[in-house]
Amino acid sequence: MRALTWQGTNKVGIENVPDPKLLNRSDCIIKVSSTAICGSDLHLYGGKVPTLLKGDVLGHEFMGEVVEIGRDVKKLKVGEKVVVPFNIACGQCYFCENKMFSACDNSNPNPGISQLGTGQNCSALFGYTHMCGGYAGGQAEYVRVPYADVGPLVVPKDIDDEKVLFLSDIFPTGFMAAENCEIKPGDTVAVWGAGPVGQFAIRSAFMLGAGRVFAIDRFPERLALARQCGAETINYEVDDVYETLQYETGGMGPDSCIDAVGLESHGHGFDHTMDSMKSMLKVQPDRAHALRQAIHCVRKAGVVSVPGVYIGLIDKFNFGMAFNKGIKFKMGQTHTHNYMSPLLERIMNGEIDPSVVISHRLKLEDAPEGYRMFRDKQDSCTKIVMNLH
Amino acid sequence: MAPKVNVGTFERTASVVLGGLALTQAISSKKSLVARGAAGSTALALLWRGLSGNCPAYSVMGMSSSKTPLTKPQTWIERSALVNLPLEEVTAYLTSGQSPYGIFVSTGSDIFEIEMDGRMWMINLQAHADGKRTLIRMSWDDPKDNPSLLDILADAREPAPRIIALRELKALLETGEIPTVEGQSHGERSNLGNFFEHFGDFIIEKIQSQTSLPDDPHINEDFPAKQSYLKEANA
Repeated sequence: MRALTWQGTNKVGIENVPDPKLLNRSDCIIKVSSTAICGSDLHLYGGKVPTLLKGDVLGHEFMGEVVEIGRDVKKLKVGEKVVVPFNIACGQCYFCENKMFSACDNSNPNPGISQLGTGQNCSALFGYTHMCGGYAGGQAEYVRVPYADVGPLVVPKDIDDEKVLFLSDIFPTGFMAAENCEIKPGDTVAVWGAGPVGQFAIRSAFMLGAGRVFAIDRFPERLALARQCGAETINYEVDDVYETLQYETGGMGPDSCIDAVGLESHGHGFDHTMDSMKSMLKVQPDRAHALRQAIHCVRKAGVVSVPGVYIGLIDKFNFGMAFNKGIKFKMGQTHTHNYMSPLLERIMNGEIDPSVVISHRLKLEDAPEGYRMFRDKQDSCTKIVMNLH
Repeated sequence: MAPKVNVGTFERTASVVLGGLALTQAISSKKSLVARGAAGSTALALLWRGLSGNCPAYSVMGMSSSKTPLTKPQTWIERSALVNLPLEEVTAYLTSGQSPYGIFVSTGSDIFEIEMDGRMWMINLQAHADGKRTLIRMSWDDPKDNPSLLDILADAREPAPRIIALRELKALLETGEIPTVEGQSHGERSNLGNFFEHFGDFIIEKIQSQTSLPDDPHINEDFPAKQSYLKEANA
């Protein structure tokens, strides 16, 4: 089959690789119909995340048709159309039983690596390094999906892929980020990063009752997309973010702030310059300007919610500021499984059309060019979807 | 039993870094086989020195750069895992013969023994305070005193069970299977990638065991795993 593989820093390509096969009794094989490039794939593309190997198949946002099931699979049937959550969960461990699916204790066959890095082993993700399990990703014609009765969500056959594909990651991720803000009716929420996750965080904040949502970015097309759903926008290249938010909230600050940027933040100031230099010298991968600014801007006793990915150490971290303001932090990989069904209902009810974030539709063969375009934000690129079959 | 640690932290780190560089050179260099072999041997020796903390040359000369304070463990329990099943279910599974590891023989109220990969393992079960989960503690008799480089390489070919086996047992109990990615699709690997794929687990496990187990062999001799378990069980 054809698959997109990582071939070194800033280099991906299409390779012919063996078709996936059932390796565990609870596996299924999916014939991929649609897959997308996620912002967090760009961290892999740029070589920011350790333990990715040349030849690894990327992609964790995908959907398709079940073509083969293992003998322990009871619920899923061949021929069903499914969306697959990006994180892999066993459904049986303490964490899964308590709905903390992204903390699954069993899905990662290489737990030692992440245990060294974080103290505990992390759950597995599709196409996201050997530290996160080493599972092949879904930017391929076929993909093996473990724990088939736990993860994949069956969707109606007649629904357009583009309406439901993002249930695999960015829609639940944006929604959980907003839910973590503990929004009360009329609250003000500020969202750093108006990329795909930011867009869903903005829309989810409104769905959960926010009165005002500020979107902070530098790309006019992304800010325009945010305005379409009622957000107010701040272009940080033009306006001072802190001063604007202070002014707009009467000196109080937003009730909650969402960092939908993560480790490759851009911005201005001493901290960003230092981060950039360290990143270039490969001594610190994370550039955390947006997170520091969110802590600075949020109101006292507010919430800072972090769906953006971080992987390493951050210095010049304003933790004293966070402590003295009594900020609550909520963060982490999304417990995607919790949100897929309820969000599918919202899509079916017409409350939201996730496909609005798509800017480009490509073939799998064009994915290498898509990665470059997405990284460089060329051609107003917001979100790339690849249709395979 | 872990080899005696006689290399300090700085030297260990430097040995691992230099060993890694030499290994990369050995794998990727286009020099003669002899030169690559020499670089490879040096790399393995340095990696062994860094990962184990044991320098045979220091041992011969009676030297040590290690300043690690020796702490005497009260009970030498190697690893533990909290399984999301009640004690009765775990006990029933282990004694039923369903496990691919064979039948676990009960040697006391909550001690099980099993021989696996040439090691005698002891498993101690305890109900968690919530009554829904079970704490499994696992230990083993390591037949190798001061393992040589050849022993380590033999282990690398068939990774020692230790932490991996405990996690696999936990997965097996909770989900009925052990997750794997062996044999799945991937594109063309680099030499370094191939090395990592085959030896990564072993190296990680080696680092983990070195950072968490008592270092001094005399202490280990005083507290062999089996005795400490039985002591604890009897207490």
